[in-house]
Amino acid sequence: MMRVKTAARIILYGLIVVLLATPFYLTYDHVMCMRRSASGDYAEDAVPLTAHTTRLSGDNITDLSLQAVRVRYAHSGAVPGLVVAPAADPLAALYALRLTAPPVGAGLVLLDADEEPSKEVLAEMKQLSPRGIGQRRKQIILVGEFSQQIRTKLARRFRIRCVDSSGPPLALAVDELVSELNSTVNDERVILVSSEDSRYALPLATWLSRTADHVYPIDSNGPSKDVVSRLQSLQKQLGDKKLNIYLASPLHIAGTAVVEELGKIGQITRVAGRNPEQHALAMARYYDRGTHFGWYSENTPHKDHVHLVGNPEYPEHLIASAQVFSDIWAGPTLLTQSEAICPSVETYLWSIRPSWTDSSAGAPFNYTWIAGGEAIISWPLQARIDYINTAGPYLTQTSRASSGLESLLLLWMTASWLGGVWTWCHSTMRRRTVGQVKRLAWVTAVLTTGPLGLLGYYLSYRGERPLVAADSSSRTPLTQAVAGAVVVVGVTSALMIVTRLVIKGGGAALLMTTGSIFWLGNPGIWSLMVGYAVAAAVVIFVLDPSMDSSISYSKDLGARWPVTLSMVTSAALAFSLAVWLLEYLYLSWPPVVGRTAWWGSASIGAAFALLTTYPLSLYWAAALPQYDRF
Amino acid sequence: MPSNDYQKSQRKLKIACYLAGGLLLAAILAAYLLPAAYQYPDASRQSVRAQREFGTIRQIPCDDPLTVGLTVSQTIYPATGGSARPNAVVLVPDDDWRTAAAAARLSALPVDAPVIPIPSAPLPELVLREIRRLNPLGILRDAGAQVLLCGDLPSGVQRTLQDEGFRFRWLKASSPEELAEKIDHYLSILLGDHRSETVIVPVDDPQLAATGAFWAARRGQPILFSHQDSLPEATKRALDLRPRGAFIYVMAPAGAIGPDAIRDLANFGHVQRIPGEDAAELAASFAMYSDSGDQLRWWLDAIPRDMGWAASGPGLSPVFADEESPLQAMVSAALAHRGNAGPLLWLRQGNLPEPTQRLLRQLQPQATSHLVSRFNRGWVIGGPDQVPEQLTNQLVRLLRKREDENE
Repeated sequence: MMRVKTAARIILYGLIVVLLATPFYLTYDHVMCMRRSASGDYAEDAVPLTAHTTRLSGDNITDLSLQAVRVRYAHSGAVPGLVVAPAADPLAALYALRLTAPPVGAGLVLLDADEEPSKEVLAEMKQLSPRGIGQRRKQIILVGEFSQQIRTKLARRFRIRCVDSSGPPLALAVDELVSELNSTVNDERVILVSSEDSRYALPLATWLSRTADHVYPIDSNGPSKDVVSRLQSLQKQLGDKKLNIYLASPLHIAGTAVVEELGKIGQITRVAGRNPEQHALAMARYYDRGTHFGWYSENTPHKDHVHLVGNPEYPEHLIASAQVFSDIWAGPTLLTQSEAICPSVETYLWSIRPSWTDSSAGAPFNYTWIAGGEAIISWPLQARIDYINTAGPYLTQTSRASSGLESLLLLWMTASWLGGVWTWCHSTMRRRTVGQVKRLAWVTAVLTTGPLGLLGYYLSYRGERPLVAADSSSRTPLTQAVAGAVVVVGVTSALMIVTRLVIKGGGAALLMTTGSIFWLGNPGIWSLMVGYAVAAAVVIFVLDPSMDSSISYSKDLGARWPVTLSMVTSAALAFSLAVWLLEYLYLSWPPVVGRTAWWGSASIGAAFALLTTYPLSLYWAAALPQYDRF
Repeated sequence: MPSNDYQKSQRKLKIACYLAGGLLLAAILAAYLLPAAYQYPDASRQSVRAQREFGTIRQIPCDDPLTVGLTVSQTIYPATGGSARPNAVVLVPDDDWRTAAAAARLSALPVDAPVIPIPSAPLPELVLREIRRLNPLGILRDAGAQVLLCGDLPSGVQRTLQDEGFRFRWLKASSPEELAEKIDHYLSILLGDHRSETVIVPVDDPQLAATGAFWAARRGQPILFSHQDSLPEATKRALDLRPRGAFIYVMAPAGAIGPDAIRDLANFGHVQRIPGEDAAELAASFAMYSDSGDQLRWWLDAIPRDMGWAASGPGLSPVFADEESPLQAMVSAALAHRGNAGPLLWLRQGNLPEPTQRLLRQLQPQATSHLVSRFNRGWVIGGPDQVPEQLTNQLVRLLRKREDENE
């Protein structure tokens, strides 16, 4: 009898250690998994293109901008014209981006404002053979301040037109030119961007390349007089209608005084975030139904979401790449650091991850253009974005890295863990007379069955005084059934879980079984069957026999085994069925043994087993006078 | 008045509970905070395969199946971490399109693998480097097998993989029909059930087989072979294992799989023929084909049936390949799984066949609000020799918004 008792203790201690260690293992596994995914354990020869991303890069910014032009016009070879802006002046380049929008559709080339373009660059521009824009068929429009040498050099080869700030401010000069060339510009909306911190102007890049909206600079003192008079003239044209002024600058750049001042001219709306990354997200999420300003990304789930991702420290790369969005694609600009994706951007991307329910065929696909080389946006970051862009089934869809199901399971498992610890403490400190095997069995049961097991523990010992010998208590058949079901299910499930873990550790192989028993070859299935055999043996021969030395072990075993076997079988069948349904049918791919989803399926299996085993337990409790063991 | 012992035990209980709760909270917080604070390390790499980007088309300008396989693998698996790595790599002989067709379904879950065709000579160093780069996670329910060898491959491959320390499984059979059966058998054990939807392709027509293989790579449905007038025994055995019958989709016109074979197939379930008189027409009609509903299963495991690309508007991501290079099309089928690409559409001798052109015009996006926009974006498999630049440009135009045609 002592040997059986010792064996029971060892087995139960082992189960408890494994179950208690679970959350710590999961934490470790989760961290290591994230680290592995970030640590770049990849070889040197991966390509910089992925299925859901394209990187626009070049040896320098001019090269990148020419590549973007080629991508836009490769199919037709007919470039309407080129707009050239200085690479070092992001605002000038942003204004120039307005000319890339249809119907003008110019290609944007960024040049160094002081250094003459190389022969190769000129040859490349010539090869694009711009047809000419406007009535005078100007092939190149220079926007911003360029040296005389550059102007002369370009003028020798192309018909050029210069737009700079020698007259009105540059934004207004470009505005005049856009009005002259593009009659489709919406005069009801105006965007004001920060001239002090151009990073806050960048999120407008893809919007301006598509719409050519009026865009003017603003600083902490408000807009300049020229801008104010331009706003007033636009308001005048509208008559009774209010001019919609979108203030794309955060509070620390354009304060409330500025807003009040502008409020006298038109309807002010601030679309801004605390930092450049958040600022870009604000623009991606915003939408004005009246003027159709903003991308409204998160609320349009059934479309293809296309983004341009850039680094705010490299504005020129982002602006040069934004021209791809002028006609082919439409979508917001996102900003992130070069090495790690910002948590808020990642959350946003997860929230719009494409999904499907029954058929993946009609699922939207998300696509991202990466602005700049790998020093600007790293390769692991690009790979991460590619992964988030991949369409997944709706059932396991997530708003973060773990699915809703997994989050729920984590909560359940947390409750199980805490419940197990509490049961241990409670039974040790408050119920000292309870036998050790019984105590350990209860702890195991609560750890496996979670809050349901805890409820069983409470119901089983409710109303008993703490220091009265619990073993001698007499319970009603209903309570006996609860105790019996919870403990048998808990211990059976725990043994099956641990057996599967051990089998997996040994490298469970698929067996090529043939005929109608083909399914037996699946290691997931045969490990469940082995788990059942182990659980039945342990419960029948070790845990269930009475530990009372006055009762013969063999006699007790002989009398009890049909009861125990039926209970264990019921629990194991229900557990296996639930696990099979979850792992083989409802999860889109098999959960990795030991990971959250796998533990979760085991927890659900144990809870399901309780439902089926309780009626059987009730039957035995009513039929047998000596049923109560736990 | 409670005794001292009772009070002490109660205090101990509280302390123990607080400690346990704190420990668990710390563990959960650590799980979520540590990765967020982690910075990606710097990485220097070089591009081995040049792909051409045309805005709405990306071209994989490779002329041989091996290079196409490697490029597709590198495109869909960045291999920067667990989620970006495949479970396995499938190696097939580069002179056997039937094996490639049957193995295409291994690209889909639960295996999740690129298919790389290899020559009969020793395993090329390029392939070995690719397997090392991918460092496959291992098939969960098959002792972590990292490489699946399919068909007649040189025995040296096995030795090389052993030397490299990769776990592998070799699926081989005496005929392509039996290999298809074996792959079906292997996946049925892996999934714990046989898929009801079955794609039947002619054993003598690589273009038709590739069209089916592309879909199989997306959804993992079995590819089984048929002769023109009869059903091979291996195919019969595989179909017979579906106790409640199968939904059988025949990817061939009557000239390729005749009425006698169809009659044989009808013994095993519900048969439907995908319409189309030749490969291009059948691929175009399969692009718009959709059949969904209940499975022939018990209510408990009656997951919905799903067959066909169901293209009815923009949002298409077709893969274009030349009819002369069906093996290249088959090994690029993995794009349908991870790359969200598909269907496969055929090009014919540097031209766009009429059915393909008609389909593209029908599904061409129109200028709409950015709130509802769906885009078309395609892949072209093959270099300028197979797919001339003029044809690529035509495809780019057909996938763009309709208003752009007048440029």
